Amino acid sequence: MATYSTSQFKPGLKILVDGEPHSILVNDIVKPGKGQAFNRIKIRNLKNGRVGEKTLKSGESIEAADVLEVELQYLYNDGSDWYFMDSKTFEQVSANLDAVGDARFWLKGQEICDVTLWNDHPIVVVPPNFVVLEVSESDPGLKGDTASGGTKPAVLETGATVKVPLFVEQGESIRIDTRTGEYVSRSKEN
Amino acid sequence: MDDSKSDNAKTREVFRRRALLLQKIRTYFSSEGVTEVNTPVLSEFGSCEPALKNLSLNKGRRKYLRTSSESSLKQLLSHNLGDVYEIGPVFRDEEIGPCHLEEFTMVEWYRTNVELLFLIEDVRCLLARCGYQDTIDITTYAELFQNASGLNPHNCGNSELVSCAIEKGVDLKECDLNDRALLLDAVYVSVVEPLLKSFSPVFIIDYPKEHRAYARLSGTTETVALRFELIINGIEIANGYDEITESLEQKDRFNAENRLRKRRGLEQIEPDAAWLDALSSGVPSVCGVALGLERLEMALWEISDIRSLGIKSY
Repeated sequence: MATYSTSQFKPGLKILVDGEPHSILVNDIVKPGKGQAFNRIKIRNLKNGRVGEKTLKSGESIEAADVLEVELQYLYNDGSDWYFMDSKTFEQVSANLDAVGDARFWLKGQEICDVTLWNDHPIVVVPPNFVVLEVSESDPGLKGDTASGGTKPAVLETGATVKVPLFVEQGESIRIDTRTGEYVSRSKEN
Repeated sequence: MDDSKSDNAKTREVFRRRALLLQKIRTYFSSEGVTEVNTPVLSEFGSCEPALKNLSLNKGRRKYLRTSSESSLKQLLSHNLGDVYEIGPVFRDEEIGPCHLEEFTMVEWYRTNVELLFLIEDVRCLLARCGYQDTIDITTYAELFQNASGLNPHNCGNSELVSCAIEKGVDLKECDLNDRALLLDAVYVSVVEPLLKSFSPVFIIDYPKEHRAYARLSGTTETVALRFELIINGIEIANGYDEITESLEQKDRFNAENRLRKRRGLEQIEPDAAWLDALSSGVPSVCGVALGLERLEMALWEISDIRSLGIKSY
């Protein structure tokens, strides 16, 4: 089992705390005048994003988390899991709903995603910042209301619902910012 | 080009400011009748202090780089030189960070036949002479500790310290649970220390006896150590003792430190015979303090990273 000594601590290091993978955000060495030195670390749980603190005696070791950030291509969803492929080795991995989370709203296939692997299993999937998706369902916009900047809901081919300007029509492709879930523009793709 | 020009200017400023500061310190001690001395950096003996890691050279006979001038200065005290001070480099292995250097400059001085409060006043005067304007309060370790943790550091149970530390996310091992000095540190680091940054400058006095280091214990009750630390912006600037002057008591301290070292799985360090001999031959009653020069500069010039006080390397 790989371990890291406190002298190796630095922001970004991946460690196991209470059986969960964490990333070190801040590493402070605190040493009372004549006392034992400690490393006080701020850590983020890689699975749920929760931030916490932990203090260890300097010189101690902590288990390393086998965490890897990779780019994988999204292939398909079989109803329960999402499948991704390494486009160099063609190896495939499946991710469950916990790992895919809201990314599922933006994936239709072929997208290159940033995937965090822990012990070779995806724990976090981040879709591309921008995706182009087709509007599969949206009421026609009201004539004469184009100047108000009003919006209406539109259902996309992935099942996600976003707010779009009134002039966007069913069957059109639009560009979405996946970080905010907001409409950016109409797309000329497709 | 612009970057290296501004680096040049920064380095020049750091070193000019240092030169002026050293002048002020020397002027102060000279006006107080304290004699400047230079003592060896290399020593046959390392420090037994469990919290310090010695740097040593292994060419032929092992020699240690001093962690402070304490031993040499105490040897000089036994020669009746009176009040002495030294400004020089000291070394502590693996202490690197925004507030730590492996090699730093220590201003260490000893005042004979005075009380610890005189030495605290002495530090105040020196800082004022160096241009430090803020007033510095005095508080006891117990008050600070109790306000922050609800526990009395002198008489609370080890188990109370353990639960407080664990609640704050400190990782303790089985062997730590009866190491009271370490448990006090664990609570201090997780509860007290984070508050210090927001405190005004303060002398912390009356340390628990587990953290007496080489300070005498007070009076007949011997519950607190006659020791102080000066904290500015949450950082330790200086550490002073009403010094142990009995050879046997000092030897007991070295042995106790080696026992603690053994328990913590650290190397045993041979007690400093020259130091013990000096005490045996007799030194006057004395209070001593060590002040980190770079730490003082951090406080004076509001510097956040001690490493910026060296030569800017390319």
